[in-house]
Amino acid sequence: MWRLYPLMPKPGEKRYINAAALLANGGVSLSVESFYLIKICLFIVAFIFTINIQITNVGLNCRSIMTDLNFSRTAMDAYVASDPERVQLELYLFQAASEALDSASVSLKMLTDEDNRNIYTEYISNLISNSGISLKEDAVAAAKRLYLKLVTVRSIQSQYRFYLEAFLLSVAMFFMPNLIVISKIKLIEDKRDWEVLHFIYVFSIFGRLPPFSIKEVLSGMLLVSDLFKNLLSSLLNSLKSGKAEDAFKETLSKTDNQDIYELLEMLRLSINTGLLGIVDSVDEMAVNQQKWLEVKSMKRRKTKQVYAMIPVAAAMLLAAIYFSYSLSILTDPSYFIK
Amino acid sequence: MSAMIYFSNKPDSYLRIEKVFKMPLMCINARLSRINQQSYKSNKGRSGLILLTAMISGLIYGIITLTLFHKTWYHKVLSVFSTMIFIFVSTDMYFELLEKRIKKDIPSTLKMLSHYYTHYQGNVVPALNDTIDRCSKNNKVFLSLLRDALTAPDCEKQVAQLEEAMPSVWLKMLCRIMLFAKENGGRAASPEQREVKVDVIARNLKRLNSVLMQLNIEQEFNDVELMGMQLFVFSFPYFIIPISQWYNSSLLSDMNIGLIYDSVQAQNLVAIMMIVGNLGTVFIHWMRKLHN
Repeated sequence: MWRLYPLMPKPGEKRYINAAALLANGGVSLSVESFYLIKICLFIVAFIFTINIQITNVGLNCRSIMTDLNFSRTAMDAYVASDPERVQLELYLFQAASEALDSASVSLKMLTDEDNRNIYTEYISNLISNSGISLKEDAVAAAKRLYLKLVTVRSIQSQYRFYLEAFLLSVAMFFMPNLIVISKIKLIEDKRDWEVLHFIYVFSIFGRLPPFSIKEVLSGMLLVSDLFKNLLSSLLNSLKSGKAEDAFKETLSKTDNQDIYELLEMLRLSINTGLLGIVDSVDEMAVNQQKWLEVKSMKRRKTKQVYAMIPVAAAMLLAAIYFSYSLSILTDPSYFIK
Repeated sequence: MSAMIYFSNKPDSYLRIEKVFKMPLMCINARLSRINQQSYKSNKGRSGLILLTAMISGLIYGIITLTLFHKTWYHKVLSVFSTMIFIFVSTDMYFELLEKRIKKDIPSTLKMLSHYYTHYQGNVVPALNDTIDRCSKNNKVFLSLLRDALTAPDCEKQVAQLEEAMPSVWLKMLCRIMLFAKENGGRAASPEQREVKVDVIARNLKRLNSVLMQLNIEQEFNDVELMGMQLFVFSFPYFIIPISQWYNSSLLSDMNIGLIYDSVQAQNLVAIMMIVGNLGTVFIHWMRKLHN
C-alpha cells in the first residue's frame, strides 16, 4: 500500500536506509513509512493552504486596484475622496471595460502594446459615453485610468510567481520534519552525554548493592534512560533469555557512541570479574566523564544560544518592519485625509 | 454499568463533545496526579480548574488576536492556530514550574535522608520518618508514600507500583535504593557487616545527591539562558504593536493612521509576527525540554 505514494522510498533503497538512520539517531520512534506519510501530508496541507492564501491575496489586491478612485493620480492632481456610490460606479465601469476587452479576444501583449494604447483608451471612452452614465469628471481621463487599471489587474492575474512561491513553501514544509530531526540530533548531543554520565553513576550505585547482578544494574540504567532506552531494553531482554555474551556482542555492534560502548564493555567484563571488582574503575570513569562534560557543555551552551537567537532575530526584524510600515506609504495621499 | 447507561442515552454529537473535553482533562489529571500523588478523583476539581483557566485565557488571547488581524479567512485560521499554541505552551509551563519545585528540593532531602540513615544505623523507616518531618513540603508526600510502601507486607509490589507513579526518575531510583536498604541493610549477620552495608547505602545516597545537584545546576543554566529569550519571543508582538501605532500616530498626526494599520498588508504583518512569536516560543520551549 505504501508503494502507491510517489515519494515513498522502498525498503533497501538508499533513501530508506538514510531515513531509518536519521530517525534512529534522533531517537524518534516512528517507522520510515509513517515519517514519509507525515511529510507528504504536510506538503499537501501546506500547498492547499498557501495556494488559497495566494489566491485570496491576488483577489484582494486586484479588488483594491479596481475600487481605487485615485489610481495613477500624481501629487499634482486633485485627490478624489471615496464614497460608496462612486466606488460602485468605478467598479461597474471597470467590469464593463473588462468584458468588452475580455482576455480571450485581447491578449495581455496586445493590451500593453504602446501602439494600441490610444485605440483602447478611445474605445473605453466611447463605452463610457454610450453607457449614459453621468461622470463627475472627463470621460477621456476616466478611460485612461480604467485602461491602466485593466493592464495592471491583467498583469497581476497572469503572474505565476505567487503560485511558485506557494509551491516552494510547500516543498520547504516537506523537508521540515528532516530539519526538525537534524536539529534534535544536534541539540541532544548534550543530553546523550549526560545520560551516559547518569548510567555510570547508576552502575556505581547498583554495582555495590546486593544482589550484585548485571540485570539489576541494567534495570537501573533503563530507569534513567531516555535516548538509549531501546538499546538497553533489548540488551536486558536478551540477558533474561540466558545468552549473556551473545547479547552483549550484538548490542555492542549496534552502538556507535564511544562512551556507551565503553560502559557496556565494562559491564560485559564484569561477567568474569564480578561487579565489585570493576566499580572502582567505573568511579574513575565518572570523574573523567564529568570533567569532559563541563568543557563540552560550555561550547554547546553557545550553540544552543545561537539556535535560540534565530526566532529572536526574526522577531526583532519583524518588529522593525512593522514599526516602519506607516512610513512606507507616505506617498499615498489618501492616507492624509482623516 | 451506570457509565454505559449514562453514555448510551445521550445523542452521538453530545458524546463526541464530551469526549473532546474529557481527553485533555484526563491528560491534565494524569500529570497532576503524578506531581501531587493524589487520586484521579480528588484531582478532578483542580484539573477542571486548570483546564477552565487555560480555555478562558485562550479565549481572551483569541479575541485579542482576532482584534489585531481579522480581514481575511486565513487571519482567522492563524488566530485559532496561535490560540492553540498559547494554551499548550502556558499549560506546559505551569506543570514545568510545579515539577521544577519538586526537583529542586530533592538534593537537600537526600542529604537529610543520608544523614538520618547513618544515624539510625540502617533502619530505613525511622530515617524516613525523621526526614519527612524536616524536609521541604514538596517532597514530603513522596517520602510518606515510600515509607508506607516499605512498611506494607508486600513491600516489593508496593514499591514497584510507587516507582511507576513517581514524577522523576531520581525518585524512582530512591525507591529502589530504599527497597534494597530495607531488604539487605538490616539483615546483616554481624555488626561489622551491617556497618559496611549502611556505609554503602549512605554513600550511594550521596552519589545520587551529587548527580542531582549537577543536573539541577545544568538545567538552571539552560533556563537562565533560554527562558528570557522564550518570554521575549512570546511577548514582543504585544509591545511592538501598540507602541508602533501610538508612536506613529503622534509622529504623523496628519495622517489617517487607523486606515494604514487596518489594511490587509498591515494585518498580514501582524499575523506573521504572532505566528513567528508562537512558533519561536514552541521551538525554544522544545529546546529546553530536550535537555530535561
